Amino acid sequence: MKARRDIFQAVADPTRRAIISLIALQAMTPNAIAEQFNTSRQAVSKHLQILTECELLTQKQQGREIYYQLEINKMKEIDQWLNQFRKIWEDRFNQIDDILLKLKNKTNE
Amino acid sequence: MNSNLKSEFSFDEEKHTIEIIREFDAKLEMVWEVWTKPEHLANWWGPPGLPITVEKYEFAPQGIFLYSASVQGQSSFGKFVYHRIIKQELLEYITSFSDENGQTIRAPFNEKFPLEIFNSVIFSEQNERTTIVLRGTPLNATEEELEFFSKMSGSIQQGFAGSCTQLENYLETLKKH
Repeated sequence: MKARRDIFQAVADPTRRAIISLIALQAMTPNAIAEQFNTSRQAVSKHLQILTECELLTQKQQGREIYYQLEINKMKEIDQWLNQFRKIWEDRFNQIDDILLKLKNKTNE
Repeated sequence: MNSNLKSEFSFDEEKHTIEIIREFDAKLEMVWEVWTKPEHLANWWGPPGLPITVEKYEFAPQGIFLYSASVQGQSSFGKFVYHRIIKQELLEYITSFSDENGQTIRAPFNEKFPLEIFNSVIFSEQNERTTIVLRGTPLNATEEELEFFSKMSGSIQQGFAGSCTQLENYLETLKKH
């Protein structure tokens, strides 16, 4: 069965967004990630677990260390989905701006 | 878009309500017309360059505005059912997906998306500019639908208009690839 978590939960949290940004630059160990935050290691570890369950992060073993890396394709998928909704409204408003401009020009003729 | 125009998106988690504030560089009378005349609605409600087709338009309380849009060769339908209308002040309507007969259907993209959204738009004018405050909240939604709506809206809010985070910059670079 698929994990109950969904990707919206993953990106709605500011700490998790920050973790994604960090790992986007390079794969990192849990310790290195935790050092970047003021929260407890356990809290960061919980965030990493959620992101992994959402298939946004994967683990890879390198020597004795575990590194987390970003699943770029999954990230793109979310981004497209959210952007659609955000864009719908931005597009509508821009189209209204255009119509209003045309109407104003017409009345000024 | 004129960057001097106010544009805000926020989400009230407790009330499950999206609030969008947008300013337009035009008088109230004109903005009202653009929101309520079918020939204008057809040109802005749908995606850019793809005007929707107005199938039915009854601008009165309980009246229905049924429209169709052709997405990748397939027709899909949506509707507004108008509630209160106070000229140039307030517009209330319920939006949902629809079949060709105007019957409400589930969102085609996700079964957890609320069946109906209640929208209220408040219009006001100041210095020849018009501001709309649009609030949208799921109607008679289940817990699961409310949860989905919250997550989606919360995520959108974080990315909306201006808040340029590291993540967004990164995603921008991805898009260029």
